[in-house]
Amino acid sequence: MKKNKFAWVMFALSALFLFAFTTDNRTVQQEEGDALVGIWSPSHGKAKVKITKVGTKYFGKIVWLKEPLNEQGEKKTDRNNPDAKMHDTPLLGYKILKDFEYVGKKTWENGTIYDPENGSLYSCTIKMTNKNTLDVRGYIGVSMIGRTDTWTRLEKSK
Amino acid sequence: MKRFYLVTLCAAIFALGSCTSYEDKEYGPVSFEVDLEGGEEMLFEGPNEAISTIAFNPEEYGFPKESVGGMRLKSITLNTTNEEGFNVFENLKVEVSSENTEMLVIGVLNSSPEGKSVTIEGLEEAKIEKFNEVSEFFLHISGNLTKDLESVFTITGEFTLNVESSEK
Repeated sequence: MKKNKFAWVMFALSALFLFAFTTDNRTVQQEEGDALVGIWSPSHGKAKVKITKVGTKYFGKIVWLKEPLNEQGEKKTDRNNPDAKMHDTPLLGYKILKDFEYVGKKTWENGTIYDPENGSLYSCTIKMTNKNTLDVRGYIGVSMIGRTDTWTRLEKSK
Repeated sequence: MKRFYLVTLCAAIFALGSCTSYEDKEYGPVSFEVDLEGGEEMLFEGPNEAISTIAFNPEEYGFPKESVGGMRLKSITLNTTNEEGFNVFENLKVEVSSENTEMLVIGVLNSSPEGKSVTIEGLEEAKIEKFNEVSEFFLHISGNLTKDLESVFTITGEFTLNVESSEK
């Protein structure tokens, strides 16, 4: 009878330990993932992109354009989008990063990046090389064939 | 020759059997209330967004999830009691996202809306049947403010989805 009780106590303790460990681990993962949240600038410096979290995913929209007007002096729109219905949608506020998930090791995957300069949508992986720098890799098909751009955080994290 | 006819007949019966006929149904109207991000703080000129979590349960409207063949936004109506109305926006965009599906643009208004109520028709080609697999999704309403606002901007509204359902 005593042996049985001991076994139950050991089982309960292990379960509690496992629960505490996984919950703690999940919180750490979440905090690491949230490091992506902020305002970033691609290397060309023509735009600023604000990355936010919705649910467990990360999205980035254009919040500033160096040249907000086109040749006609009108606000820039998504005129290169293959979908004609989007041609009059302002570029300011456009979500160019969508559906990123944190997969650990300072890497966000399964998202897409949209290039408004040519209207193309690419699969994308983001790696944080340090607190204030991202390697943003856009590719079609396999990740091996693609282009990496370095983005810089605008509000430097201490 | 007889065998050939038999195989053709079986193939035809199989093809007919695998064709499911769908009926057009409506999911909604679903009501929501949401504030533009920033809440009680100031809202700045430029891109702003409001995000509402929407529970999704087709059975409430009389058709099981398994019966859904196609789905898209029929229309969404946005209302505000803010004294400026929607005139302070230069455009509006409606998107949906979820934990398991890709974000999709389902409605756009590329001109400046007027007044305190605006209705946006769903984009014909924006198929959102994959959202049928989720129990809740996020409704994103975004637009560019033409000026700073020192007030909360609350949006109430409702939307209806067009659903193709095999449920008779």
